[in-house]
Amino acid sequence: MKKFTVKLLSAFIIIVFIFPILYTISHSFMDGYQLKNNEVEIVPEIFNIQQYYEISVEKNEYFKLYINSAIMTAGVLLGQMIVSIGAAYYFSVKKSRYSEVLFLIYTFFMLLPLQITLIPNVLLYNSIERYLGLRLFNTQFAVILPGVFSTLGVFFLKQFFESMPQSYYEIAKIDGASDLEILLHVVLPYSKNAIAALCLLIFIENWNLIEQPIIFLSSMSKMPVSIYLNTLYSSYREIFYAGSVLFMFPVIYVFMKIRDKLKVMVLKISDEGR
Amino acid sequence: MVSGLFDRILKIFFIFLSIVIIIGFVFLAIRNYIMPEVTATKPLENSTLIKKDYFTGRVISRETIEVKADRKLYIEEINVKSSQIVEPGSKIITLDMSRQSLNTDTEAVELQNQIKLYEIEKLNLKSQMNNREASVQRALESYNKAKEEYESTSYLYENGIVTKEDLDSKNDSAEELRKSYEREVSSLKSETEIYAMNLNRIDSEINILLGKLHGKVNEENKITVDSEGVYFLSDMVYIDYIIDKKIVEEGETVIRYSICNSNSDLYIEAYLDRDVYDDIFNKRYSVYFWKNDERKKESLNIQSVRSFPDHNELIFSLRDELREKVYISDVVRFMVQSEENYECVVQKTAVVPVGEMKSGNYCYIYTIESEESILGQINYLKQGEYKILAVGDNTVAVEASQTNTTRIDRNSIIANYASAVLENEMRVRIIK
Repeated sequence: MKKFTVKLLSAFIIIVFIFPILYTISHSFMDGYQLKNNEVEIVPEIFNIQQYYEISVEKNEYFKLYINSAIMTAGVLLGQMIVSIGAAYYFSVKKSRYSEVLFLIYTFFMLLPLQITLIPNVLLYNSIERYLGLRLFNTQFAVILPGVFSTLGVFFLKQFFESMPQSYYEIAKIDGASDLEILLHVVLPYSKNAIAALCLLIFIENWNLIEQPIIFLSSMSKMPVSIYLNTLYSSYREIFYAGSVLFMFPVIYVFMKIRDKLKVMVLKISDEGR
Repeated sequence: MVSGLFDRILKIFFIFLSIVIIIGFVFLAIRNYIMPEVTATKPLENSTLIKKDYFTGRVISRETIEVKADRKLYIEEINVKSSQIVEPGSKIITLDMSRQSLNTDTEAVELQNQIKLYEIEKLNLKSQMNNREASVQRALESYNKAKEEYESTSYLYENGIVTKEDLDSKNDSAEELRKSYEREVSSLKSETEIYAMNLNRIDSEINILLGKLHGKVNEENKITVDSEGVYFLSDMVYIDYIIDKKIVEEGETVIRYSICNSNSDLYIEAYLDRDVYDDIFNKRYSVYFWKNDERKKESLNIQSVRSFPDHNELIFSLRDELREKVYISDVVRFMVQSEENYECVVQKTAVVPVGEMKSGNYCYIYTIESEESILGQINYLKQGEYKILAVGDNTVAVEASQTNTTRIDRNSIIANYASAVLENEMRVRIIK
């Protein structure tokens, strides 16, 4: 009975999560007439790719914002990986009194809600522009930079690097490897799954950015697709669903590609927990 | 198995989405690449419109000679054309003499012969009258002589020298001569009346014939041909009109010409468009003219223009110094140049006329608006309908045709020299 209840609950949760995706995909193959008349229907009366044709050929301004999303996500991903790996290595391997305090402060910032840091960031950008003449506001750097210094990656990787057997570090040190060599040739190969999982998390987080672009960007041309979807729904309902599917596609694709690594990572963390 | 099928469907779906994304990027790139290019212009700072209108005219003599058929003519060949200059003595037309009722030269000779006959008759009559008068004179002289003889015989009889019988004989003779004289006078009187009547008749006949002959020989507005039926003119002439029919009825105009190189009053005749015509007469612009693509430096005095508004026709009288440079039938080109200020003057290349580019017609002008969009700062066209006020050489004066049409001011940016057909709200790339 308990098993049945668990299965039923699991099925309910899966349906709750899967339904919006299926609904969107299904609607992306409906024509404008059916969309206008009845949005409750799930299965298209006539399966067609009219929405995809329109969004790719006729109203392809969408892809300009797609590029913006890709640039911002890639920027944050690359930057955050460099910063996180370096910082996590420092906090996990080079332990000292200061590093512990610094990590505590770092963790504290992670606990702060995003909305609290947004306004100080705006003020910082204004100051930089005023005193250094470097304009960051309304540029994609304004979105990328806070993302680069996000504490999630550091926290995540520090925990993983600490779980690495200390003998790996010691052998490498005996062989005369420097910190950079240890990081590149020992830590990173060992942490492939963790880094892949972190990449997925960073990618998903930044592909779906909402607040930061709204605050830091004023030009519509620099916005990511995540912001444009709302406009698409209100102005171009006939291509909204195709736009949504295309927006979901990179996330789902990346997830499908590294889901095995993520599974391994999750199992490993659960094993360590035991 | 279900998992494998799901993976396969997912794979196909991902491939499909990848294709859609690639197509989207390609079309986005193409759309930006093939965007119509325009150069941007602004309304002219100096809103002076220089307007040049060209038209052609022909130099014509004011004095023309019109020749009408004085009888039915049968033309065998027409040797000249309208608007042709003919050398002296050239064949103009050749009459069909086999069908023609009269050879005009023969007719003249006949007329002259008739006149001569009448003149002879007149002389004969005069001679007869002279003879009659001489006869009367002779009868009078005979009577006077007989009368004198009678009187001398009567004296002799009174003196007893001659007898009574001799006196009576003389008296009878004188009486007989007197009666003879009286008969002669009476006869002369009646013959003189007849003579006067005949003389009048002959004179009138002669006058008629002389009149006919004079008309044939001297008047140039009648067709006079030689024995072969060829009509020619002795001067160099410009044929303004020549008939194109083979049979010409009496009274019809056969030819109209003017004599070249004469001191006749030359003028230039030109037909204009209505608006050009109005401009010239309402605004009094400068008028220049060319001959054989050579611009004459002198501008024409507009005051000397005569107009025929019904036909939009202008006639420029040629002043003496210009008359030396143009000749009858010369084709000359005119330019009417004007300068006028308007509120809005734009480049002609920025105007898309509806129909012909002329004042009074409507046109489209595309102003370039900038807008921040998801594609960044984009330039798009805003179409406005404007009325053409005047068309210059390279510029056009316009005004908004409707109240809601965008007014073009000095800050407006106008699309110019487009690389494609422009449309309202079309995105364009501005090139320098």
